[in-house]
Amino acid sequence: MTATVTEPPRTEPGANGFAPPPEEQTRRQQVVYLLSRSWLFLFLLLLVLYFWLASPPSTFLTGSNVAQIALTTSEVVLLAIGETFVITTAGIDLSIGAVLFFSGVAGGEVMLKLSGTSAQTLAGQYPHAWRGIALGVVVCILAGGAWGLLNGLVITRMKLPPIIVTLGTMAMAFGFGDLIDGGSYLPAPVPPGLTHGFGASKFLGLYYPIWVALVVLVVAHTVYQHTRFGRYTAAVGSNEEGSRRAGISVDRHIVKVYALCGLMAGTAAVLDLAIFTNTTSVAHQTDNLSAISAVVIGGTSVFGGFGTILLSAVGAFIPTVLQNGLVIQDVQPFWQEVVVGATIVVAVYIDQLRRRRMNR
Amino acid sequence: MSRRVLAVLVAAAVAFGAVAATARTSSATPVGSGQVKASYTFYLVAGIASDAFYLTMNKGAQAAAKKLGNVKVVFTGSPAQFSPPTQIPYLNGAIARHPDAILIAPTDKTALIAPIQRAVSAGIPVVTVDTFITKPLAFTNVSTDNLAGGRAAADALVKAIGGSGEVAAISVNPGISTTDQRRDGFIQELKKYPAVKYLGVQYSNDDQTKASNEMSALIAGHPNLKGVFAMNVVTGNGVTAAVKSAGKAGQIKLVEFDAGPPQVQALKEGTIDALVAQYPYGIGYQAVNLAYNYVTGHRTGIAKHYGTGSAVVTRANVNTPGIKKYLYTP
Amino acid sequence: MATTTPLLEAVGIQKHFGRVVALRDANFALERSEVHALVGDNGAGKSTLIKIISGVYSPDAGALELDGERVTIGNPREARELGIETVYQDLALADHLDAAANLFLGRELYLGGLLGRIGFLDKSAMRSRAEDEMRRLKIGIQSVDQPVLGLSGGQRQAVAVARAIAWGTRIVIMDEPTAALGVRESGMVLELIREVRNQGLAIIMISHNLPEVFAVADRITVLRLGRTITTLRREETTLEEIVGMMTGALEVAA
Repeated sequence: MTATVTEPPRTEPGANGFAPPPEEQTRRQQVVYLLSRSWLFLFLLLLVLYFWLASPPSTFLTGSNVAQIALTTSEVVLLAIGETFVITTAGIDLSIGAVLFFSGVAGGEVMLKLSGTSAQTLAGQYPHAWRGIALGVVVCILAGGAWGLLNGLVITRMKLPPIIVTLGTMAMAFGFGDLIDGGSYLPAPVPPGLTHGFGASKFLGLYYPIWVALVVLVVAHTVYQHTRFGRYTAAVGSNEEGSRRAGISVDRHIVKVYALCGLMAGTAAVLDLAIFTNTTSVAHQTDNLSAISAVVIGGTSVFGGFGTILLSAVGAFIPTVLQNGLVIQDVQPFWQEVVVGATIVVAVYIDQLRRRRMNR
Repeated sequence: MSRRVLAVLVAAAVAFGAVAATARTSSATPVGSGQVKASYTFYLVAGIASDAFYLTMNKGAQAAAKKLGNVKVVFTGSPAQFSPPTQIPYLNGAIARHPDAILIAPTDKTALIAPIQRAVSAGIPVVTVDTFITKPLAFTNVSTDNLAGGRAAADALVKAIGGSGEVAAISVNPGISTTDQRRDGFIQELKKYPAVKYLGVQYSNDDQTKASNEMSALIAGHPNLKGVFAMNVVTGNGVTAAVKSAGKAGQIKLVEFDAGPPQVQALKEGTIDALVAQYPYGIGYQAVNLAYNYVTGHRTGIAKHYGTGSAVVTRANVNTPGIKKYLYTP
Repeated sequence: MATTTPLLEAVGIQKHFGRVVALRDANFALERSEVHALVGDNGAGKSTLIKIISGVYSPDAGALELDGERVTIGNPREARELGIETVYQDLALADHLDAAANLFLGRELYLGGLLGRIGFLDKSAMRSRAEDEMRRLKIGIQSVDQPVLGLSGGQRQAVAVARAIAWGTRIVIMDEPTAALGVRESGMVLELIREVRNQGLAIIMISHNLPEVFAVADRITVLRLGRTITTLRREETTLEEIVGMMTGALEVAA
């Protein structure tokens, strides 16, 4: 005796019932989607517009002021790029500022030692500056990559949460940096070839560090959107176990992502030395916060799976534009902190609204 | 959806405007070409805007401005940290406003060279106060004679510990001109006292907690430690806290640089034995006057450096009027 | 009477974990182009059996034969190479990626030349292949470009199934395919399963939902306490009979 079975109703003859909706809806949804993705950029433009109108003429929107804003933000942009990849894997790197500091110390020391004797450099002379700068830059970047690699290996091999591991490497990197410098200043500033010739010089109207940030931004965006590396980053963050089952070497990829973040920190260290001529641990205590807030404001989800490189860069600009604009407006320094903090909250709130609408 | 977002954005913009309007402290007028104007605006960029030292300096600056009558001084600077990356954005903002002069306490000898160069190139004369940079871009510098201050601290500390024993020092960052000079003056003067053993200097990175930890470690490692010299306010706060919690208040003699309210309080309580007070009020006052002279064309005779004095403040003299004017009043 | 060799045959499988015996004597034969349901109460050993077939576990005793040849499946990758794919209950989809990305996860298509060698993806090729696969299975999805997070439960299941069968698969294992779905969507998934069978693959389906089993399965194997009770064709039995065998109420001659 066969049991009676009811056939489920079919919605379309011959089809499986997963009917696609009409075309027009898709296109409208696409436009809305695009607009909502770039709302942060519009927000930034609104900010710029506001400050332009509210400030005395020729103060805010001058070429030199805008150039200064971009210069100050170039480091954070690099850090934010590295952090975007990490956060997209549902991880986090708190050590990024400390690694920047250590790389700056290591690279800076190499630059000084190779540019001349200590008597010479202390007196401001750098007879072999180019040798020193070249090797120092390499050391900066590699030192950053090494710390990133360490982060990745400890996280994957010892299976510890990223927040704890990078908290530890943060302390270690600051500590080692301070050890090398006996209290965190290089004995002499780095050669002017790097500072004057690179950090304070322009190429086609933009400071060199800004060019570096721009180029890295474009490359990182391309990698994220169009290469396997970017896709695996999102996959691992979205569903680590599922990615493993699909045959992706998840652990190896995670190590690569953290190493990349470290390399970004190392590159930012080069810019840091170029712009500020020296380095101190005090100045980098909250770099990780700046980078992570830029990423979060940009819309990357801290739960992983979805990242946006370009918007992280926009997110990096919002606090610096705000700060510059508020200083020009003569708003008291203490109020500025309040406003910057409030803006971050508003930005994230709007992003959440947008996200919820999208996932209806 | 867009309407709701728009509403939030508009609300935010309105909030912005409200805050900016109420919190605004001045509006600068663009710089002229140096002839006497109806009014002048100077920007005072502090090393750190929350420090009693700079706040007192601002008081002196405001007093000078008031006396001159047609000068406005805008006080700015990062309230969070004493470091170039946090100070430079504020300097940039000041430069963008084209004030008639900028008074700045550079947070690093070399890192601030390029930004200050930009100010000078934009036609804005610069006075460095307190700290200095290694390139002669400012038309003058007004600061405490920190070497003398360090020496005075050494004398005061030796006196407090009774002439002999172990002493140590905690500074801020090697590379800050002021604290380096205090340290050098201190070490130099100690050489006069063969019975006093100098254990060395540590650096707090301008972090109160770090200073406290270093002090605790010093106390633990050197039971015979008799005296310590803390070279700025933040460091002093950390040192005082550590001494108190180790229960050694009064046993370990402390000399600290700077005389902010917590330091004066500790002095009166007996935790600190002597303060070397700078005269930030005087620095601010003098800097504004010098800037005014410069921008009104009276440039001859302005020296490259003006040293202001320091005073050793003890329990004995803290209430005397001569000493009182040195105390910092934020 | 079937005279052809079964596609997959498991004979006398035993598996224990420590002192817990999961499978005592499991037997199972899978024909080509059939939907074969594995039913049994909790703890009967269904999950363990399919995990052995998909390479997650190795049996302590017994043999597996694929197309008449003895095989050892040491890990999931080897199972995949033999053409055995599993669609787990959690679907293992990357929610934030779109359907095309999920379909090709781990097996991406690259652009030609130097770009491809450094990892540049051929997203348009993957997109059109994905659309082809969806069409082949008669699945309608708004766009293969949208994150699968936004798809309905049934559509997500469809993407997972499409991924499983897109790679020269012979056997698809489905663990509780309609567990999280409503009535209408379950119906869609069952239709999909029939479509997959019609295209020549064999499906092993674990399900607690006996009405659905009777709706779609060709043959049913009942496990109880680690042992295969019997294998019956759907027409030869009733729901009540199956339930009886699952619970032990009905005794069956071995």
